Amino acid sequence: MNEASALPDYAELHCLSNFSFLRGASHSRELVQRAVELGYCALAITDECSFAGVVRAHEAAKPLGLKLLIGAELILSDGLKLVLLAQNRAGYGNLSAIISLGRRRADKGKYVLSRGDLASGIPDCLALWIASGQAAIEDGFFLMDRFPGRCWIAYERHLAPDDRKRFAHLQHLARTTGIPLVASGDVHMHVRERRPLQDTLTALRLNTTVQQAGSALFPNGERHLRRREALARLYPPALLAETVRIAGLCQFSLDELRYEYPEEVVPFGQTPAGYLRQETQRGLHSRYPQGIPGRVQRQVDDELQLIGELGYEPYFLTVYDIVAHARRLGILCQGRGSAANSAVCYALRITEVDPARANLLFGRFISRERNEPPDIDVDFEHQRREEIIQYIYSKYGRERAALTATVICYRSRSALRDTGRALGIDRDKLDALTSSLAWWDKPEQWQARFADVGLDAAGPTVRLWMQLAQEIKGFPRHLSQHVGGFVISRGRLDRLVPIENAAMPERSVIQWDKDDIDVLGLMKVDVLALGMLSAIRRALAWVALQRNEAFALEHIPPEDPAVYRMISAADTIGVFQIESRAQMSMLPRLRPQTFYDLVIEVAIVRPGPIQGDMVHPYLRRRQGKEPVSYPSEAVKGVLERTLGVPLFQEQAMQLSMVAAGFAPGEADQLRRAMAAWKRRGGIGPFRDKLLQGMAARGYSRGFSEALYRQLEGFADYGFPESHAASFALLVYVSAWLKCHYPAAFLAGLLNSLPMGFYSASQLVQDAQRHGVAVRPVDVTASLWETTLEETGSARPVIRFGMNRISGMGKAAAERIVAARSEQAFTGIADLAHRAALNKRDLELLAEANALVSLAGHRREAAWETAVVRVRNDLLDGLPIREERPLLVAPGEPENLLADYATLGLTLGGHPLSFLRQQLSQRRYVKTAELRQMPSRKLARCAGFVTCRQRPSTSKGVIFVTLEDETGMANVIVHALLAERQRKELLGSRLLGVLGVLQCEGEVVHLIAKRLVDHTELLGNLHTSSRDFR
Amino acid sequence: MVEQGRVLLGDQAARRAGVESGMGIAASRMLAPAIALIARDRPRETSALQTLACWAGNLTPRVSLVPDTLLLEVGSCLRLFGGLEAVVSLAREGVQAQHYSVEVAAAPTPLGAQWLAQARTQALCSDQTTLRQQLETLPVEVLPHKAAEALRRFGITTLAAVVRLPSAALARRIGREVVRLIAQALGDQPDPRPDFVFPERFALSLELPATVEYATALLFAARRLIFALAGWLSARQAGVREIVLQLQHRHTVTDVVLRFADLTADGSRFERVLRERLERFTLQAPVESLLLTATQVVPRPHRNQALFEAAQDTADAIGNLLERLSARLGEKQVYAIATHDDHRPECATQAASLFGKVNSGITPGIPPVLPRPLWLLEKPELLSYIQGRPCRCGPLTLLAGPERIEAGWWDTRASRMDVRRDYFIARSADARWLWIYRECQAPGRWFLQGFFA
Repeated sequence: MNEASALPDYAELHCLSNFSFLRGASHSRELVQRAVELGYCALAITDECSFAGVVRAHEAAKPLGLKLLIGAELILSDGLKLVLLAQNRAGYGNLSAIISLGRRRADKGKYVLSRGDLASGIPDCLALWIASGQAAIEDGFFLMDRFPGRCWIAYERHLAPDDRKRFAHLQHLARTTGIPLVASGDVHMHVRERRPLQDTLTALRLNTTVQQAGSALFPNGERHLRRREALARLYPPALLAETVRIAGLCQFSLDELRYEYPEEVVPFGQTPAGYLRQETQRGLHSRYPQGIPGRVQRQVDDELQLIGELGYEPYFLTVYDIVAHARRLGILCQGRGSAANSAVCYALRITEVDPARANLLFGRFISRERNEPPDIDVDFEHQRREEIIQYIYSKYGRERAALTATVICYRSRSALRDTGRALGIDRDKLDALTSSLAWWDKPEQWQARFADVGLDAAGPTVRLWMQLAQEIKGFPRHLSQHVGGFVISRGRLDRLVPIENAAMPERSVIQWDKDDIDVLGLMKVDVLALGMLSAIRRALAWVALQRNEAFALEHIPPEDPAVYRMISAADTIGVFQIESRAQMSMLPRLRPQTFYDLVIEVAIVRPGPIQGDMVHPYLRRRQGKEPVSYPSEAVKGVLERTLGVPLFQEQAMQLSMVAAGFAPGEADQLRRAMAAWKRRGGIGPFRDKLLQGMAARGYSRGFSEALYRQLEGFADYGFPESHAASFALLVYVSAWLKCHYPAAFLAGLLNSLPMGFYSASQLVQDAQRHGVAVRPVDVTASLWETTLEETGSARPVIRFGMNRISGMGKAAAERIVAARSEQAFTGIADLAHRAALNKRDLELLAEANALVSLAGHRREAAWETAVVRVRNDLLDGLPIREERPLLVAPGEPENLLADYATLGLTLGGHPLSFLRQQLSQRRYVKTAELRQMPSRKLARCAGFVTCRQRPSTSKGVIFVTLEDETGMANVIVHALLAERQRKELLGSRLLGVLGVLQCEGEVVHLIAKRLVDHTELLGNLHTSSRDFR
Repeated sequence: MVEQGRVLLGDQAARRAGVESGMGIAASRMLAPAIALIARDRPRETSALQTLACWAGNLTPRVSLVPDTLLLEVGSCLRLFGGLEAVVSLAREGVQAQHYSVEVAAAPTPLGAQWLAQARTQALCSDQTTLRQQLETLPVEVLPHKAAEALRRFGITTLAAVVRLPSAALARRIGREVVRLIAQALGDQPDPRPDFVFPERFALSLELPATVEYATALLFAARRLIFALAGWLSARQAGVREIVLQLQHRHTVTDVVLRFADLTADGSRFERVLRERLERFTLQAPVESLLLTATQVVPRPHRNQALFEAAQDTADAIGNLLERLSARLGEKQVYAIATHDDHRPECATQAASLFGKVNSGITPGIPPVLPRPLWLLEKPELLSYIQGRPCRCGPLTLLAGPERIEAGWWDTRASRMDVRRDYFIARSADARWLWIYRECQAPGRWFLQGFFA
């Protein structure tokens, strides 16, 4: 008899993962791994009233061949504590429904269940009674009734002084009721060494410190997965054997979950396939009124066949239904994602990207073999997305539709903060430390920061703290709602996965996140919000008015050379995606000429390609400075469209198949690894297979290594072509609008703020530089939103809406417009009276200089409005005769201050034009002059800091944008200088930079050598920088 | 110093780092990671102002407090001090001597003086005309915030411009009250102020006629203070738990803190305790003056009911005994045992000060069900280990256990690190019941921790 077989078999039936928040101290993968090492025959994951961690456990257990039981620990409101285990799919559903019930009736993060909820038992579930030493026999009878033949008394021995007494009591209960005894471990951690972390979690849960928690902590670390020889010493053999018998009674695996699409997207009597074909065909006729090109029809037929083979019709129809509803409501939307780039989606108007035009092949995105779930994200206008969400809830009901969860995990700052709190570190020190962890401080720098706040970095407390913080990092903290991922099911969703309340009222979320759903193949529709769509919809409406004809996305002419000329000159402020500093510096080098160039532009200025060092090879090849070569024909097929440089996630997968011989299934695993690299620990596990595969196919070591590095880059921040294509469409549309209808475009943007990269002030200045005339807010002319006014000439002018006035209410503005349309205002009193304005409204209007037509300049308006009676005054409307003092008109600087304070921008001169003389004395030149200067010349430039950025790829370099009356300048601050002149860099609003010019083509950067804070020149002027976005 | 998330004031170092008034906390931390932020403490400011008001009683009996400002009516005592400038410099020096910075101004009206001081003009106006001239230079910001804001919107920045506006029209816009304030400041309207009522804290100092070099000699002088305190307390029907007698040397001071086990107002008891203390006291330096402060004054319930008098006396008697014991042996030598919630047996009891606040984290926490011996050894005793059994005068018989205790990993005091032990109840050959443990970690030695009987 060998030693292993001498050990008793054991299945752990009561085990919490860290998804029992602030209780479990181990990841489920650690628990699974440990259970396998110890030779357990099964492991149950029984988080407290939660299934949130089961998919991860399932994922970990499956490849290791460990039998995983799914269950939950429940503590009823009267204190009765149970562990329930699902025996089969039905039991799983019942338990999921009970968890949902308990969660839905309590606030986020809590649950309430009582004995009444167990009145009819929970069929197909086994119950473990976690009985204390004083447990009442009545509870036993209660459970016997509800779980006849399916309940046990759990003896959990943790070397407490009363073990013997308690066991005697449980034996007595068992004898009296006939309920059998079983051993279990109440496991909170995978190994004993997690005890400090478990104690820390307990202290955090009780909102105290480990020193103060005292007996609330577990007296020892026995609640871990114990060795079987230890268990053999602690429990009678029969109790251990019983665990194995119970595990044998549970025959459920998450693999059995079958997701079913909702039915109602198909009209009664029709098949999904038939209906999808019918609707697609109808859409094609509307897209091609002159007749459907044969090529398009063939593509649609191919796609429909593929969709049919994979059974994805209901998915397309579900998205179609949502998009069609948005269209009925007049909400602009645009789909993206692998399945969105199909002729079918184009026909169904889920996307406006014409796949024929865009060199996008559906087959590239969806394949028969890879068996990945279809993926369509739909962006909606950001201010109207809620309407879509409510439509989905009302159509499918809350039992069938819910948002996916986002698991909020501990990150450096929260880890340090919470573990520090539990260790009783001074609140002041904690605050100082965590807030001085400027977001770029790396863990390696923590030590220095400790010293800063007066903690001994080498001391034992700090050592403990660091260790705990490292351990807790990555632990889930709570479930939050995903931005817009809906799961919709045919039957009750709460039997598939528990549903709980989100922090937001009227929102419910499932307990799984998008990766969990992905693993189990559940359908998800992402209903997302995109500000640019709001802007485009508004701008299109103005264009339609200007052209006096219906004008929608589809009417925008494709491939307009004027648009590409504008883009190539980096004249893209306000344009979707390509307006950022990094994008703008790329445009003149890339010089996009076609739609597909835009797809590349969108994808290339991303951390993935930058880290994978793909940008420069691509540019060199595009500019013809480097030959384009391919190591093989197969690789050429994949990379030809990007000149041999992999830029998209899809290409990475295709390469893994054609160059390294991955099977489609493996390629899909690689995709998942890239999509959720944090969760699965990156693509490291694929490295050897990739390199070997490529070596076997004759690829050079150098090529393989380079490819692997590129894949790693993607793993962090890869951008799929399928998303880039949809974004590129919005890039083109917004650029076209900016190019041909700059006034309409500006109005659209201003009414959709906040969004994008630039402030209203910057957008307006840019438009003014492009010849757009802008008129101020005026109560006798403005509407709520910014509008276009006819001028008789071809060019309309912009009239600011009252929504530009910060603090102004929409209702008041609309009353003004309504009163005005009846009869023009005769004065302030008339305005106040007929538009029922309160004093605050009037003050805001006066400060915004919107009363100039009625009361004269700002100060006079203020004087006039200060006395206007509010409504319902007895003297309402009775004019008071009073002398009017002479108030001196405000000077430009004062107007400027008031404009910035109320409108966030000014139509008067740029603030810096008032300071120009002083700046010239200090030998600063205008930003426009910088562009005329030769490279490597020393230059001084000063301006408002409108943006500070520190791209994660830039090794500590900080990009600063300076703005003056002539435009903007790009400043690069290297890490060393940034550290040395931290105060100037972060504290200045008006910053002077002494540096060296660096010109590359049309891209001009000022490399900072010294920074000077000139904020004092501004006096009270408030400007704000959009930092670090 | 910060208030409502904004920096209010900073010292020089903060200003050098670029931290300014009005800046957010996050911004200031970014600029100066090591910055120490102190929350504004209004109660403390108020009490400081009240102390100053007490002190100001030296100058004039008519003192008035408004937020941030102390108003002294000095018109009636100008002659006494020799003119306005003399009074003002007395006031300035007096405040500065207490290590406060101060802005002083004088005017015929209280509000005028207040505004001139707040605007840091240092103006001394002895007549209405000067006052008016001075006031007119002030910015509108001396007015209530809302009114100042409104005036700024009209383009009005100084009081001179304000007084030129038609006053009825102005009153309709910034409110009658504000217009009245201006009139009061100018002296066009009366502005009566309530007098400050002197506070109820006790702090009395006594200059010694000659420096004293022996502690015992202080008792005589201190008796005056003590009995004054006792009288004060009894008048106020209050008692104290603690009084501080500060011995003021030429350059330094020594605090003699007297604590009482219960609330007391008994002068002879003060004296007795003080005598006990001073007899054992060596002076660091000659004493020049004394300051007696009652630091913890608490209203005292009446003690009239005869029924409880006896019990009360007993309590007092025990209190007296403990005080005398600890005065003799030193406070640290007489202590109470308090339970402390901790799994580790040696940490489950703690020495607690007799006079400290009760319940400062010391709670009766250990559940009574745990088998714990009454007598714990101060230091566990290493046991020998023979033939697989722990021994103490012969092999021990294990009766119960193990009870595993693993706790204290967070404790960074060298002597009390993480413990990991299996406890057993054992019987020794001489039939004593012992509480012993074995270390979980190698080498797994055995120790005796306590006795059950």
